[in-house]
Amino acid sequence: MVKRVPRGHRNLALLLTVVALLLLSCFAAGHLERTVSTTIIRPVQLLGQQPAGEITTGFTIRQEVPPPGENNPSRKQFLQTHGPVNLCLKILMANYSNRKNQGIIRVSLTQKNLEVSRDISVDTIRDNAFHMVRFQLKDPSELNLKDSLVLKIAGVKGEPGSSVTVWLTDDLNRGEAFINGISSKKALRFCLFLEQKNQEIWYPALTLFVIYAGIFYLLISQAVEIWTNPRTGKPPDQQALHQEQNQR
Amino acid sequence: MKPYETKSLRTLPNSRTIVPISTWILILLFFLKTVILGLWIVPLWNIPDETGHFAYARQVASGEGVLPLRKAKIEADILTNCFQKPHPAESNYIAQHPPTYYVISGLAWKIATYFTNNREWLFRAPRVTSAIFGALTLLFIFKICLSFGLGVNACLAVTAGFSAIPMFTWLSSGTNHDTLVSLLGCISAYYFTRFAHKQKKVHAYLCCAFMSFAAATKMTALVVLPPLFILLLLETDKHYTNKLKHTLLLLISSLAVPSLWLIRNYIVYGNPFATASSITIKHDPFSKLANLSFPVFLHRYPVLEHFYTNFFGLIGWKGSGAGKLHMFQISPPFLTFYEILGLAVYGFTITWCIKAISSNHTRTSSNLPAQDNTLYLYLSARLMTYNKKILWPVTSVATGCVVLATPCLVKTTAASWLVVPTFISIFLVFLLATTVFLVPVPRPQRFAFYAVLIVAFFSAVLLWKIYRISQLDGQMRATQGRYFYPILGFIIIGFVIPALRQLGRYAERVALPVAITICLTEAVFFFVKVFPFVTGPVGVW
Repeated sequence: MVKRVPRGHRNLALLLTVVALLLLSCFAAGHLERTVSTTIIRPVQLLGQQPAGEITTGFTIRQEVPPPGENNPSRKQFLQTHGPVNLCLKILMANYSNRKNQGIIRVSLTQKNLEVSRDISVDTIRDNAFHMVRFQLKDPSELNLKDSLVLKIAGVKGEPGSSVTVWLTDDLNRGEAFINGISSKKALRFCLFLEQKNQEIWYPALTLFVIYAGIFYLLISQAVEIWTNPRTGKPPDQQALHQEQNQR
Repeated sequence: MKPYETKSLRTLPNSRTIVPISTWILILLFFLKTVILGLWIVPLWNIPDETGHFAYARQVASGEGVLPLRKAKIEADILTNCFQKPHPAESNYIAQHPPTYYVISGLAWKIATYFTNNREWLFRAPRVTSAIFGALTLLFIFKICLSFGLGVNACLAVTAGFSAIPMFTWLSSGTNHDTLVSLLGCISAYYFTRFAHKQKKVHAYLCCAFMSFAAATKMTALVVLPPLFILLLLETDKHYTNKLKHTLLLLISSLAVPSLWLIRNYIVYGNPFATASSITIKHDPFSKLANLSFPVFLHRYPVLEHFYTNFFGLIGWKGSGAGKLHMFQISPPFLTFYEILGLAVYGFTITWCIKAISSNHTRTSSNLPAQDNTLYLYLSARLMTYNKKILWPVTSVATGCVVLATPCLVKTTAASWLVVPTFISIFLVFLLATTVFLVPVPRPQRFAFYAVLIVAFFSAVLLWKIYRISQLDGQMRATQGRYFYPILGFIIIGFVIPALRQLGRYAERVALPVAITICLTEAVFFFVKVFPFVTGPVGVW
């Protein structure tokens, strides 16, 4: 015979299960999606640093970056994956001692079969810090690691006195920067890497979440039953004998 | 009611041995959890030695039979999949194990070949058998608790608690023989409890037979058989006329199955106990461990701590590292939770042991229950004439020695200082269990002491073996918590059940919330630590 569970107990068990699941969700939030990354261009050293000048309307700074190469197996693996891959640029910028700047700059990366660009509002740029720009590659195979890349920063909208700048360095191992088409004998300080969010286990993990919900409900409903029923306080042996006598 | 009866382990009516629906649901949920983990989440070759286990299973199912070490191979397709690049076949050291598990898991692979040609699914197919064995282990954990007189909900709590040990879940979702060993060990322990209550000889034979099956799955379980055999022999009725027949039957049920493997080893290698280590590792007299004594070895290396930690969680193997070992141990705060839990359990067990001894200390053989006419009683009656005065002083001095010596033997690296009192408690339970031969304890209470003695003997032999292997190899080796799976059932009888009995009427009220916390801890551990570990492209980090 199936024992009827009082509605109050059922509701309490449900409530406690929800609390347990909320607790689990708080811990689990953000852990299912892992971002994995692999660097393709490491930043050069900061030697004899100098600002490139305010990136106002019409200002351009261009640098050709040598081919990253395919010697690292994880780079190849990234580009062979079918999901979306982000090509990320981190570049050392400055906003003139936290000055309030206004305007838009365009950061672009080009290659033979690839052209990606992003407009950035300059008020998001921090002083003397690396600014991250993400370019989503819908087809990762567009990026060829054997070809050189061209990095270009152009001022779309910006006035002198309220624009940002980029830091230049003397280390020319990753190419030379050309400001408005003129050689600067200096280079931008930046790094390039690929990142990917893995979502393969989302559905199995959600199923597990449901299974854990079932386990919690099962145990919590039993616990509620015990804690709210004074009879269950008796030693288990006596309970069993009591139940047997009742059945007879 | 007499004092010893209040928290004794008494027989319950037969009607209560029926497994309730809530337990079946829990077992089903565990099975689903491990199947989902095994088939979709845990990357291939991420369970310890999985390449070797799978290769062995496929080799048996393909009709190649049981090949000796050096001839048995982990085929190139398995290693290529594991290493993520072309890799030649290698010698399979897992061929050191008897074939019991591999016949069953090979069958799962064979069945899967009729449904799919996909390599990934075929590699994963034997994992389902581990999930089944893990789930059935839980069933027998429940039955052990129930037959030792715990309330249904306390039994459910113990079962749920064990179902949520991250390492047990992890192993149940991969191709390995440890869950079958734990199942057979638990069935053996179940018949041990049945024998404790019913005193039917057939239960003693079944107890030994199932442990011998466990030994025929993994030879580690062979170590359990000598103490089990001796203790069951002690429980023979002293008036039983055909003692020799009983002894022979116990011996046959203990050794019939594993002896086949021992004979085979003798024929093939000239050593019945041959393992991959004994064949391949050559003794290095200049190794840094060569001159270390056993206590110094325990003092210098975190052996005990690793056993404890790895029992709860050692996640990963070679799958995530594309052929390189890539694994992590459970760490604080998760480990701290298990340390506190362990400390509480062992604390209650010690209290129960002390109460059991003191309540029976004044007894003589004449005022034990009339039906208790065992060899044990005959022996203890002889021994107890000497113990009346010296029992407590000797026990106190021994306790002092344990308390002082244990901190020197437990080196802590990852675990907190709590692991030291935890091991002090474990050793004290071992110490108290030995008094069962000095104080006439009524059955089935004394079977809890027996179980502790079996755990103690097994642990001592295992530690000694680890010491010897580490000496040969020149580094600390094989401190795997899963090596304790043959005695999982006995750990429950000797440690968990007495602790819950000590709680008396509060057992169910306390056990269920604790079980919920254990389950929640495991869920958080999997979502926070394990899933980030297993996600992402292989070999990137």
